[in-house]
This record gives sequence, C-alpha cells and structure tokens, in this order.
Amino acid sequence: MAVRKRKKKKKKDLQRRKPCPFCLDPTLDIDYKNVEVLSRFVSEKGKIVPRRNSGVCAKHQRRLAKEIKRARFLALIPYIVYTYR
Amino acid sequence: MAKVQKYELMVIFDSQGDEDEIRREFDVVQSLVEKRATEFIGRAVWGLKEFKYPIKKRQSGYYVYYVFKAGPDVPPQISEALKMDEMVLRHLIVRGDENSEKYLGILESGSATQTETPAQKVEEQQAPFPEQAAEEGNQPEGAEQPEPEAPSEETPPEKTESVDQPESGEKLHPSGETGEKTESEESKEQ
Repeated sequence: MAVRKRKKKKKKDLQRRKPCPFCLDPTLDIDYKNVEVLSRFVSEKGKIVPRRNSGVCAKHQRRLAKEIKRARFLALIPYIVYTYR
Repeated sequence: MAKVQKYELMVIFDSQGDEDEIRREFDVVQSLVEKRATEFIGRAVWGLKEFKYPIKKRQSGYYVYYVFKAGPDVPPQISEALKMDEMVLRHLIVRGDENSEKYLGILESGSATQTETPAQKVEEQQAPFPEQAAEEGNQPEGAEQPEPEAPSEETPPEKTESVDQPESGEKLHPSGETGEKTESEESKEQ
C-alpha cells in the first residue's frame, strides 16, 4: 500500500516542472567560455546536474552537456571535486 | 568546392618561461592560422588563468582565443602543427557561431580586469596589438587623474563576482530543498 502512495506523490511532482532558464532568457549564452553560466549546472562534485533537477529542457541540456565537456577539457571547470569527510 | 566555415580556436600556452617569449608565441600561432585560413577574424588574449586541474604538471597557463574562416581541411592541419609546438599545453578547435565574435571583446576586457599588471607590462614592452594597447592605454590615463574614483570602479566587479557565486548556490539549493522535502514527506508517511 505504501508503495502505491509514493507513486502518486511522484506523479504530482512531475506535473509542476521548473521552466527552462535558457528558454526564458534567450540572451543566456551556453558556451564553453561562459564559465559562470556553466558552473550553475554542475554539482559540488563537478557532475552535470540532471535536467529533472535543474529544469533545463532537452534541447538546451544537450547543448549544455557538450559545452561543459569542452570547458572541462580546457581546465576551466574541474572533472571532479574530491570532498573528503 | 569545400564549404568555408567559421572556426574558434582556443590555445593554452605554457606559463613557465619568459613572458616576452610567450607573447611572441601568440603571434607565431596567429601567423600559422593566417597562412592557412581564408579569413582571419580576430584574436583575444584571455590572460593567465589558474587551471582547475594540473595539465602537464602546470597549474596555470595563458588562454588565447582565435576566430577564423577556413575550409574543412584546415583545422586538422592547424591541430597537427599545434601538437608539435612545445609551448602549447592544450588546444581546442570548434565550429564557430554568431556569438564567437562577441567573445573576442568579452575575453579581452576580462583579461584586462583579471591580470592588470601583465597588461600594463605589455603596453610598455610590446606593441604587437596596437589597438588593444591603445584601448588599455586610455583607461589608466583616465583612471589616474581621478584617483578616488578609480578604486570605486574596480570594486564593483569584485562585488558582482561575489554575488554570482551565491546565485549559483541559490540555483543549486532548490534541488537540495526538494530532496529534504521528499525526505520529510516520506517520514510523515511512515
């Protein structure tokens, strides 16, 4: 029974999606040189934030991932950030 | 006929060694590009930047950005030539778009604010880029006369940088908050 309840909750969460920040503001440039924008969509560990969390649309997420990888290659963004505890 | 397209080239130069030599290397690479390209659009010196991870045991390097138009056979040729160059730590050639020229100005102005002392040295020692030297030369003259105003102009960019970081934090937080909510919700259910 508990499992059914959880499934319902998840459906509700899916209904209210965040709007894509790049669709809202077309002047925001997705580019490997624009590190300030890219670093917003990278987690503390350096991973690319999934679009289910960031709300970026599929089209812009594809572009974003490509540019983040370019910026990583040029050492503008780290591949990984080690967080020892 | 091969289609001529716009390309962006980002080159990371080794920061170890004579600064004059490194600056000369920027011109060497530019001439290399100019020889092969059908049209050379521009160059922007981003300046000395710290790497986020070491490249060939170096912690920093000079970033220089070139934009040019050429046929599809040219980028591999340039890439081969740059691989032979020992001063070049790393390079990236990608297809350009309408925004690639916009970055010529942005990166150059960014380099002026980040590395002020090297920029001033360039004005005195070299004049390979007269336009840039002239632009940067005018700014310090203006800044020298009203001394109290100059620091106030310099401080805002720092503030904006500090503001940007929290923004990134804010952007990332919501995901964390949602995670917390879901946890709390789950606990309520239980």
